[in-house]
This record gives sequence, structure tokens and C-alpha cells, in this order.
Amino acid sequence: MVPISVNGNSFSVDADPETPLLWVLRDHLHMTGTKFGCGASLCGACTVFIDGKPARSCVTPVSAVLGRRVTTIEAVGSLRVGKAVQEAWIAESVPQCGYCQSGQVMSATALLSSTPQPTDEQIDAAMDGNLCRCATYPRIRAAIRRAAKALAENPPA
Amino acid sequence: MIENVSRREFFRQSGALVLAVACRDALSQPPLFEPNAFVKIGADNTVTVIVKHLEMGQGTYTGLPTLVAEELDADWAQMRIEGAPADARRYNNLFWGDAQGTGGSTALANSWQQLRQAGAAARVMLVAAAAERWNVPAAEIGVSRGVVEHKGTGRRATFGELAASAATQVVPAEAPLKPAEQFVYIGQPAQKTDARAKSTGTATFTQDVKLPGMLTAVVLHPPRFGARLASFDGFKAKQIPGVVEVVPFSTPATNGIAVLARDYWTAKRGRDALVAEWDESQAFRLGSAEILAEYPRPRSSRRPTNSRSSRMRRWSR
Repeated sequence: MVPISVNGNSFSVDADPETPLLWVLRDHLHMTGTKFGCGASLCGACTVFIDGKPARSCVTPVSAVLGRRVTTIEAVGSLRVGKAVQEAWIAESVPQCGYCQSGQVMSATALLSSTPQPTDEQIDAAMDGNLCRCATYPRIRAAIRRAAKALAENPPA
Repeated sequence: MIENVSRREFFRQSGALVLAVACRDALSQPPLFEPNAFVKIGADNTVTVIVKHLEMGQGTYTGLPTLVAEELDADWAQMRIEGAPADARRYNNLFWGDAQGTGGSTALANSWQQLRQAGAAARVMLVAAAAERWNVPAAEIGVSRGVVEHKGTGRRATFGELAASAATQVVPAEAPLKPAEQFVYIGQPAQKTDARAKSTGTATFTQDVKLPGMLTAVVLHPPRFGARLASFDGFKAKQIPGVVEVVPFSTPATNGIAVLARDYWTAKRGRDALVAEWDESQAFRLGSAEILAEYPRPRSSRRPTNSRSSRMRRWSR
């Protein structure tokens, strides 16, 4: 059994320690918001936070997150920045097929958490590892700018 | 069950197919107004549109409910979506005969009349219910953004408040459609109905579906097109806890070995543990250089466009 902390909850899963975190989330914990894209850290669909930092769950063995905090798309909306990003995503109608968007939202939340007012270059650099086959990139950029503006206009109390 | 001649006549004329309607148990079910196969209005004031075309990012879950909202004069915020069940009689693609399907940019075009009529019929029945309740002529009742109103007396009602009595109204033989200059939603940008689910990880994709007892299969494919499985050893794969079965298979198109397990990663480990021998005697073996060498050299007198089209013909053979 492997102990794991996801979104503030502790679980113990019956999985091989080498099992990628992605499959522990999806198949063992039935949290299917995090997507399987390439399985090789190339597309970003599986992005989660480990101790608040974005990571590719498809190539992260579950044994590597022992004692660390995992945050997924299911809970990122409970963070101030994550909530602003999701609302901006909705306002801009970013998703088309939507398959990559959990990962996009996670990466955008990570960006705005560390860089509240990113330049266009910083947006492109931060989002570079998240592919979207529908090519929603222009709306992703617009939504990140919208979220940054909303966060600046409503500072934390 | 509401069923009468005028309703059948309406649907025959409209091209919409008849539906099983309002088989309500008044004691246990919330009032529900379901005037046709495409629209349901709940006591909670939601309008649910049954969308018969798959949403794959092209926008059917937004474009098709727009047609209903327009003729119903609904508020966009009250619109909800349900994917249609498999039922080619009710939910066929009108351009494809008896087939239910999505493709070829047909979704909006073939739903244009069908869903506008569905929305217009529901509107007529809501107005009839209000006229009955308020004892005023239906012609004096207006509908705007989800509110039914009689200006003369100032009476107002939501769709949800009228749903139960609307369900008892006669389905209209004719439901007038708006002229284009009165469109409120059609032609305007709208917030996508599936944006929230797809931005919060709650949208269900095929890969997210879990059924009781469902296993996951990961397949060992042939190393070359046309290679045939000669022999294999699944012993090591079966030793992995969680691997349920190792199944060689053959179809006219391909062949291989499927490893079935209780979860994806276990199935993949099982697949990686297979030992297989392939008969490649009939397999496709050409590399890029050999394939390019097979092309005829374009004649210098040929224009580039001709050269390209001749290549395209080769590809399609």
C-alpha cells in the first residue's frame, strides 16, 4: 500500500510504487479530471501540482510524492489564482474539445502564482509545454491576461 | 402520456420525429414539460436541449441550444444540454436518412429547422398555459429572456412555474418561427455551455467512463504492417498481480495480443512483459528511400500542379 496526499486528503492505494501518479489519480482514486495524453511528458495534459509546483504526473512515480502535497484540477479552483483562471477560461470560452484544458488551467495557475503580471513572452514560455490540438492558444493567452487583470483588481483581503 | 392527432400532425409536418412524452407520475416526479424529443423544461426553470450531434470541440453543445433558446425566447443562463441517447429513429441526421451521426459540418444545418420548430412549439404551449392561468388572450402575452408576461395586467411567470400546466396543452399544429431580423441569439457570440465543465475537470470524456467490472486492455501491435503473430509467451504477463487475461486476436485488418487488467498501468506492464515472435514474410518492408524511389520523376514540361495531382492519384490507389 502506498500513502498519498491529494487535495488535502490522505489515501492509501494498492499500487506498484513505480505506477505513475497519473494512473493512481485516474484508476485508483477515480479522479479523472487529469488527462492521459502522451505518457511521455511531451503534451502537458497530465499536469498537476506537487508541493505547489507544476509537474507531469504521467512520468512521476507515485513513490516520488511520498510526504508531498498533490493538487489536481479537481481542487485548483479552491485556490484564489486557480479560481480566477477557471473563471477567465469560462468567460473567454477557451475550451473546444477540452481534453488538454485541465493541464492548461494548471500551468496557467502556476504561471500567475509566480508571475502575477506576465508579459506575452512570459505567457508563451510558461505555456510552451501544454499542447492543444484544437489550437485554442489565442484564447488561452486572452484568458491568462483576463485572469491577471481580475486578480490585480481584486487583491486578497 | 399526451398523444393526440394534432401532435402527430405537428411532428409529421415539422420533420421532427415523435417522442414518448410526459409519462409522468404526478405524485413522485417533479413537473416536467417535454413538448418534443428535443426540449425539456423543469420545475426548476431549466431548459434542457437534447443535442443529437456529438460535441467534439466544434460547438454543437452551444450552437444547437442557441436555436431552441431563440424560438423559445429563453434566457441563455437557463439553458442546459444533454447528449441524445442512441436512437436513430428520433435523433437521426436528417441528411443521412436513418443514421444517427455527426460529421461533414452537417450538425447546425440539419438542425436549423428542427430545433427552431421544437423551441417555437414549446413557446406556444407555455403561452397557452399562461393564458389559461391568467384568463387573458394568448395573443396579448409576450415572452422575453425566459419570462412570460401579460403587459396589460402586469402578470409574469417563469417557464418553470408554467411547466406543469404547459405539459397539458395541445401541441400546436403550427408554431410560427421568428423572422431573422428579430433574432436575439442567432448570429451573436455566446458563452459556451460546456466551458465550465471543461475548465474544471468535470467533463466526462470516453477515457473517463468506468463501468462495473470493466477492465482495461493494452495491445501489443505487430512491428510492421502485415506481420502475423507466429507465437507468444504470456506467462510473465500473467504473473503480474492485477493482470486478468492475455488474449491473442486477429481481424481482417490487423492482429496482436491484448493484455487485460484491472487498471491501465497494470495492463501496460503486462503488455511490456509479453514475448512474441512475428512472421514478417508478408509484411510491408519498404523504407522512406525505397518509397520515394517508386515515384515517377515529374517531367520538366509538366506544370507543378499537374505533377502534384498525379502524385495524389498514386497516394489514393
